[in-house]
Amino acid sequence: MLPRCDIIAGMPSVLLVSSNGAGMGHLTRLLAYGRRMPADVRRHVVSMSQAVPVVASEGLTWEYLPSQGATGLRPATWRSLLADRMSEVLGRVDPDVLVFDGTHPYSGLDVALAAHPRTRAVWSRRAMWKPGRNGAQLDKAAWFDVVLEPGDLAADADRGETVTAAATRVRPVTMLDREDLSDRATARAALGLPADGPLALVSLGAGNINDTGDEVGAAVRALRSQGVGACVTAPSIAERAYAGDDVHLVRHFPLSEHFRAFDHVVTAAGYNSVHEALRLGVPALLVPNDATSLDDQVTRARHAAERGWALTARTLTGGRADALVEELVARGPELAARAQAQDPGNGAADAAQEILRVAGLAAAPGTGTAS
Amino acid sequence: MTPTTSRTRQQQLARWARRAPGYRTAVDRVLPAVRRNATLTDVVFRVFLPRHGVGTLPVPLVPGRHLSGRDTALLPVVGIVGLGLSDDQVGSLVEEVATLQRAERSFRVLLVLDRPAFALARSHGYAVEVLVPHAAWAGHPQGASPPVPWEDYVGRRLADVLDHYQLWHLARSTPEGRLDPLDEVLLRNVAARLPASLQVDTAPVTRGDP
Repeated sequence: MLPRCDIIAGMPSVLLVSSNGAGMGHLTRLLAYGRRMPADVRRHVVSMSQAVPVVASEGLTWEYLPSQGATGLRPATWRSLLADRMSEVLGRVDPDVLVFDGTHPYSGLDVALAAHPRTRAVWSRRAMWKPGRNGAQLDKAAWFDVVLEPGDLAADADRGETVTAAATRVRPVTMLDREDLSDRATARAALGLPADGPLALVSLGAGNINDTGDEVGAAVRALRSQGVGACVTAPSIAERAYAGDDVHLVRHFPLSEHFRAFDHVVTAAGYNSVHEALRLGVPALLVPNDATSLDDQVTRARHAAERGWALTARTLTGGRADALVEELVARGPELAARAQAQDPGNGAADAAQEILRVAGLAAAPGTGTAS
Repeated sequence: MTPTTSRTRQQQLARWARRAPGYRTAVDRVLPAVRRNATLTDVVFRVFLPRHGVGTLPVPLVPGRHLSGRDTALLPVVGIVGLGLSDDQVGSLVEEVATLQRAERSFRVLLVLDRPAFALARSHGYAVEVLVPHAAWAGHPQGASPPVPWEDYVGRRLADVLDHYQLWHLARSTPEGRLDPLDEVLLRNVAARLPASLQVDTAPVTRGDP
């Protein structure tokens, strides 16, 4: 039986707001925070991602707010819609704190927050911006009580605008830790995969940003030549999923829960993909997507390769895939072990604690504040 | 000029305009005063004879997959409200609307549903608004006192949708997931009111079509 509103009304609540982005990164990060909050804290999601219904699997309620791109509205009209919509949600939910995860806080959010001053506000924004880009957005930190920056394993190579910006920085954030993973047999059964034989997860392209069909095809062919079966992600937001002979389509959220099903991963170099592969110990070949507007995937992947945590290549096409996959099979486990040995741990719990502190619901955590 | 370059220049121009001396005075005082002045408005209409009515002003919205042509942006936008329906009923409602749209070539579609039928909407190229379903309302957090009844939430959201999307009409489904007969006959009579010069075609069936 569903709880009644008048019971829920007295509970502390957190409103998790994500921009649409290209993949699942913003939502996943918010869920990483949300699942580390006490059970008596109500967590409600407002997202511009059409993948938002997945949050129900975490027991969270959700609402969809279409992005400007999804509607085709004029930017100014959409910002007005955003302001009205967020004002209505803030008035109705009356959350103790709003957490916005995205690199571009939209005008209109400030209007809604100003109209609801009781609610504290946190900007969760990852780093690794392409150098020289998006700097003007940092001024929007003034809309928020705190800027929370999930750490990046490639932070030493970061040359983007956020490097010198004030933020509360925590260790890299992933939704799961190794102890949360299912065992290999359970994972393969859950995903409908063969129980035996080597398998690789191929996760190229950030959602529907661009067509990576050729990269996927090259990866699958090279894996097959090494006797490795290919598993391709079929995210719910993808316009189309690659389906070819001998390719297993896998669909689960969070897929990382079943990472032990895979012996290798060939993946784009987005924040979540890289940190999940490295932190959870899956030998990885990183193929950065340079078509993203802001995320510096090339630098993140190059740094991981330089540190000896993973392999990287700008493209698998043009006959490059065979040698790369051969090297992945041969050296991948050694690289993955090195990455795990240097893993600083998951910052998600620290981030959750910081959010609750800002909301006045918890004491200050042991996070580092840089300025 | 690429769309990105064009948009960047638009943003630069908008920023420049907003910083210009007198911008706030113009926006807050002059323009509202001009709009409220009946004499001025009447003079403008007498001098310029602006066309009015359906199909004369562009309304931004994604065009969908079923129509193409130079003037799709001039077609009125119709909201299709389907609440309390099953997945199958939503599917048949959207199919009925798409068939009507292809036949009439006289309106564009915004779906207003209470189910996350995103893949279905994408397959038609329709924008979609998703409301919290009645059955889930009690489980949603509310800090407002007294709590907002679902009916009030729906009313406010529909008003919001009508306003921001500049809807020409809000059509409803029957409880069985059919387009309301009155709305259907209304939509069959839009084309006759459109300017004869509009160029709107039925788009060829593409891979994304269901």
